[in-house]
Amino acid sequence: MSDPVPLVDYLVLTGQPHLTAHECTACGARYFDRRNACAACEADTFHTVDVPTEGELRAFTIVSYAAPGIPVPFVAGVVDCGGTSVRANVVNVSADPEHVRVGMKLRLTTVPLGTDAAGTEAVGFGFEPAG
Amino acid sequence: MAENVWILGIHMTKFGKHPDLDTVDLGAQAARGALSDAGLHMRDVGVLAAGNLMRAAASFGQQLQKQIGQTGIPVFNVANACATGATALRVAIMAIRAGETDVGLAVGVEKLSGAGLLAGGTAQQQGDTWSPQGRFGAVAPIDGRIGTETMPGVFAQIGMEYGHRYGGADFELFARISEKNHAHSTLNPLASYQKRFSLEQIMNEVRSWSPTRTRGRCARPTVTVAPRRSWSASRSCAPSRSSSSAGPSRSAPRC
Repeated sequence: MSDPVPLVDYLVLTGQPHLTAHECTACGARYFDRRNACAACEADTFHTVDVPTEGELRAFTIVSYAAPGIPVPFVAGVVDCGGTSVRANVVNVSADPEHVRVGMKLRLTTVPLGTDAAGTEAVGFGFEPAG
Repeated sequence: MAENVWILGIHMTKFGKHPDLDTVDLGAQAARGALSDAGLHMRDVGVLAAGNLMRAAASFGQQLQKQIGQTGIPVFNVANACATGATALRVAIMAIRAGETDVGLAVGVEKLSGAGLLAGGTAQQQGDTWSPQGRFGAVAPIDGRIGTETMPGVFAQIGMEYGHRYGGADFELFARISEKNHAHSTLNPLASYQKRFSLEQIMNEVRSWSPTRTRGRCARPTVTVAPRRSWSASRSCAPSRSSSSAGPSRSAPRC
């Protein structure tokens, strides 16, 4: 049985699961995607930094129509993790406006996505209410 | 350099599904209508700017020329999301300002019937085994698994973040914008829905992308093209020769 693979390369599953970002060495801007240069300052060197696993919900939308295979309704959101904006689903919460509020405290959690033909499991992430 | 550029003629087709008309049909109607409105012909036009997003690689401008007039002028196909038609107009204006020509024609056309949510929300290919792909090294489609890529969902979040950051932008404000836009639609016989809705009706609509978007109505703080409808609009423009020239006394169509 092979180790689980992360849904995206910026999700680290070893130890305590967390996200990493490419931080611009010149201006500190952070990105999750593969970069050609910094969109804020044009510098082209980055180092990898850990993103805090706790944050506050900055924006969300309760999605009722989605791609086939995506359970609805679900909560899509943007989480402010110590100043880094993280796009993620808000999970382990009732998907209605009474239970999801801007400013609520969240923490990172992992979400199993199933196994492939080789028996390898993929693991995604979401943010759940903290405390 | 031409100081002022005047809109000499405009035309707009009615929003609708138009199953029997393709992009060239709609664009031809708009372009010929604008030329007629201006009292001009294709042979008077020195530059064509053609906007189309959904089939951006199809050279809509050349296809249009083949139908309404291949006069040997340069054509610029542009694609710029919601600003595609406005970008076409800008290209025509810039060509006139640069002194390349005296008369330009800008056309924008889109067939959105069946286009879905414009991004996200559709099934994507996935292999038998997890293998990282793309700029996020993703082993599976991330739309719906890491937030939403659907345009209504993205704009719902932008609206909410705006309200969070600046205050005073609650759901009722978005609903009021929708109420205002629907009121405007009753003044345009070419609009998709020419029906007025009360604030109460809009606020009670089922929300598919809470908190700002509903199934049938867009409560969004920008001018929007209604999904699943096709449209085209065209303007012919020329530099002013004197301050007493016929100016753009009509308002341009909103797209």
